[in-house]
Amino acid sequence: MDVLVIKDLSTHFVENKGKVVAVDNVDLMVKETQTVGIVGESGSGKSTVANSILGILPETGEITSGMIRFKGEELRGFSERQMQQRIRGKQISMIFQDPMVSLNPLFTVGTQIVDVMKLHQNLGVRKAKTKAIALFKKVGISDPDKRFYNYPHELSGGMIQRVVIAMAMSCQPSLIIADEPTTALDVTIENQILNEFEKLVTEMRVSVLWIAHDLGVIRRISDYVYVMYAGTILERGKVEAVFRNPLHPYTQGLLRSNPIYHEPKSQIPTITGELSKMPPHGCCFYPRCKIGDEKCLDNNIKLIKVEEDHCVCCRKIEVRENCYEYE
Amino acid sequence: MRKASNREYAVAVRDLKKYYKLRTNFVDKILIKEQKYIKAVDDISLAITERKTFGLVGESGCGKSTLGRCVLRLEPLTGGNITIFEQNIYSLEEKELRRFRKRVQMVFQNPYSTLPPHKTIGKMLKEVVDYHKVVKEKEAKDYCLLLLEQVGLDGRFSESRPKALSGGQRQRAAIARALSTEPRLIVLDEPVTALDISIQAQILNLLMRLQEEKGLTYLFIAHDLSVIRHVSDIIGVMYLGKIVELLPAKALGKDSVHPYTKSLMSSSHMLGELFKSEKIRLTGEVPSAIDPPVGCKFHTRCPYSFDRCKKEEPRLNPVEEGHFASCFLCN
Amino acid sequence: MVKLREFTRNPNIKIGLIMIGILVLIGISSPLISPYDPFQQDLMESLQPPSFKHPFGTDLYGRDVMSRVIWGAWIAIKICVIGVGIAFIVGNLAGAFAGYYGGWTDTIIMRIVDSILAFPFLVLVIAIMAIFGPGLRNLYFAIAVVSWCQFARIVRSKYISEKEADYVMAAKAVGFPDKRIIFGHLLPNAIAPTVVYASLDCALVILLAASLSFIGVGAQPPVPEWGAQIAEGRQLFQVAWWVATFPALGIMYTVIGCSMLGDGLRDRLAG
Repeated sequence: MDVLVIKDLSTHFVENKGKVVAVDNVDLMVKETQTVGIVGESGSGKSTVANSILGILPETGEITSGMIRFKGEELRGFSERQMQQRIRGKQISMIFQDPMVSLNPLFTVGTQIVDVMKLHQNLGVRKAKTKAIALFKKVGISDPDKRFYNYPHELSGGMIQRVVIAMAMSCQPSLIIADEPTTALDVTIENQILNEFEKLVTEMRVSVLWIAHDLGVIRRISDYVYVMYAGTILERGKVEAVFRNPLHPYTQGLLRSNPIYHEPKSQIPTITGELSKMPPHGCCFYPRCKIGDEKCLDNNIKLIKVEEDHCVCCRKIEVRENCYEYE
Repeated sequence: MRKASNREYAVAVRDLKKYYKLRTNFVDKILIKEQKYIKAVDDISLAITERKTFGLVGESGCGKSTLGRCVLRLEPLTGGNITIFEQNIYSLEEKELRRFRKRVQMVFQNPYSTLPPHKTIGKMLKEVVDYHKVVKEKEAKDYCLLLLEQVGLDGRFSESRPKALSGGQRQRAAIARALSTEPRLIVLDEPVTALDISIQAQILNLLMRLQEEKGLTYLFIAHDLSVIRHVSDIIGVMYLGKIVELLPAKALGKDSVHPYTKSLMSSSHMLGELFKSEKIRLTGEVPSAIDPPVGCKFHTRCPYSFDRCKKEEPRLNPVEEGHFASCFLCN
Repeated sequence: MVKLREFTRNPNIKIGLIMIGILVLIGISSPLISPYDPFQQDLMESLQPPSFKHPFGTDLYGRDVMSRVIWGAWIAIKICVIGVGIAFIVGNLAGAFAGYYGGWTDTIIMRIVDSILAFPFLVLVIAIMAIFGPGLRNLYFAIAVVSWCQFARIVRSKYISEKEADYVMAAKAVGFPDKRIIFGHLLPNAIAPTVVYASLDCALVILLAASLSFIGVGAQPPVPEWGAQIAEGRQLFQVAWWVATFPALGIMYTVIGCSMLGDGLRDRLAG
């Protein structure tokens, strides 16, 4: 069974200036033991998708439509209490970006992970502690029995993220949502943590929804990827298919923006402009797109299947017998 | 270390040391325990050629930002000296200091806090221009608009406060501020780190173009090796307050020798593919700067360390023409 | 102008400004609009209840209470502007230097602040009045001497937190001298909480002045300060409720107005 199926999800925020649509009719799916990546820049709505799933949107946010099915059950129908008791931290765990503010500075990390385990698994303190220390070891924390008694400020960013990952895994969730967990870390530490994370995920057979703006990380860790822009999915597919063969002008632009692919000191061909005014109809990427024309402002641009496990939302791509061309 | 005559280089840093005293508590003072230091910059020498970019790369805590601030004369030094455009910047008199500030400017990382929040962009620029008397008073307003144009900002932003601008736009405003005094050297401390990748590329393009047009010298500090590789002529790799490898940008890749540099290269998937370098996975945490390891500072995480590394500290020795590394494996 | 309109959209600010605005108008135009001379006694008219002739009635000496209340408004404004104003300026300067420079400057200034704050507010003011003698002028001075400390504290903490900000380092790197950074760059950011506190302080100060006059240490008769009026009217309350009530309403009105303004400013300028 598919662990997570999202159909037509729309979320908006109410601000001084009016409504801001953060997620616009998004379809998304996570299969069992699959790692799905959502990649997008700031303002793409990827974090909002994650928060919508868990129902932890801020006061100004509201899901306006759509279905979020987790293991067959409609999450939107759950009450706050049900979400708290059955889902959050237990069946779906979340890891956040900034390690420095993820944990409560007043309590030791040991206390905090034991709290989570006591809450969802009804374990006694001693049993929870043993389990916790074993988990710490698994995520690569050295001297786990000593670290158990450390306060967050005594640990480095990488250590804290490891603790947070351990906490996320502690109740054997079916789905882990990771919202940019390694963005704030040094690259060598990030590398280490990704290694450990991958091993654990395989071992515990968890599904992962990994959100990032770093294409390299997404490519490394995901099986399937969704490319988001301004609340819409522009392209999706198996990770290798999308990266080897990016179809949407945005995906192409994003990949091309990486200086790696260009001669040093040369001007990097990139996407012009910034994410700002959205056209009222049609493709949201139109203002910055180099190949767009007037027809792109029509309302009916849908995801087209281009090849096996690779779809793109752009009308300029015509599929002719399993091969595709630009008009 | 090669002999750098001051006349050749725009910036010459010699034996730079910047230590921060650790606050001792009362008890330690009574027990007269040894004063501990954080050696943020520990005996660094480097030189930057005019009109070129020196890329300083390293992870957090390596001291690269501290080095940048020393070059800007924002920190008192513990030892060594810095010569910029043939002047020892730490022995400047007030008038000369003012001229120094005109010639050396900076762009910092966080676009959200680098601009004074209550001033419009135009006012902020004008204040700098007026203070340094860059142009005549009546030409100041037009000059500011010209600056905005050069960094790709529409003139109407002159009336806006930082709040109304996006991260990329604010960074452009910060660059405009740096350019306003017609500097010769700009210290850029992680100028694109906080930006989205498409905006990052735009800003890098802008910086490179400006360097060409105006003959600027850059000290570019970052932790992203792919960015450093793209903009630099010479690269310095820092770790725990020391330079572990110094090499021309072209040599990055197959020619880099230090294990830390290699681990940086193999750390990101895309970088690793590009450099096709051996995968080096580091173990352990970054050691604390208060109690750095004895011997080679990197040996605790280095997969190749052997006995000598634990006792002796390697010096920055030449590997090839213009390429230096501090590692016993390279001798 | 658009900014101003947006600023005053906050209901607290709107109401507060209107209330204080009315007060200021009344106060400034007091010589013009008060129907009688507040000092003029007319023993024949003593203790008359409110009527058309004397809308607020008359006090023991036949003086028109309304005129005295109107003049009291003017005095209240003077107390706020001079007393709180001086405290504001001195406090901001002291806090700015203490926060920015730190070290000995900070230590000296803050120890002075601590010493003054160690005394209960009221006791200190009374002591100052006792030394320099009673009267409105000394009252202003006493209030300023005691109030500046809180301003200094607020500003100092704001400076300490802001001075490490990137834009301050940028200003230094551009070459601006310290004084320029303190007043041109940091002050506009640090001043917001003190403005909020100032408006709330006005309310406190009015009450303080009233209390002092009430116990006889503040304004001396025949000055129509509201507190003094309440003192006079207290004994007469059973027979002539109007002598104490209207000045008390005046105080209440002013305190509410100042508090609302302060609350609104705090919402708008918060932190």
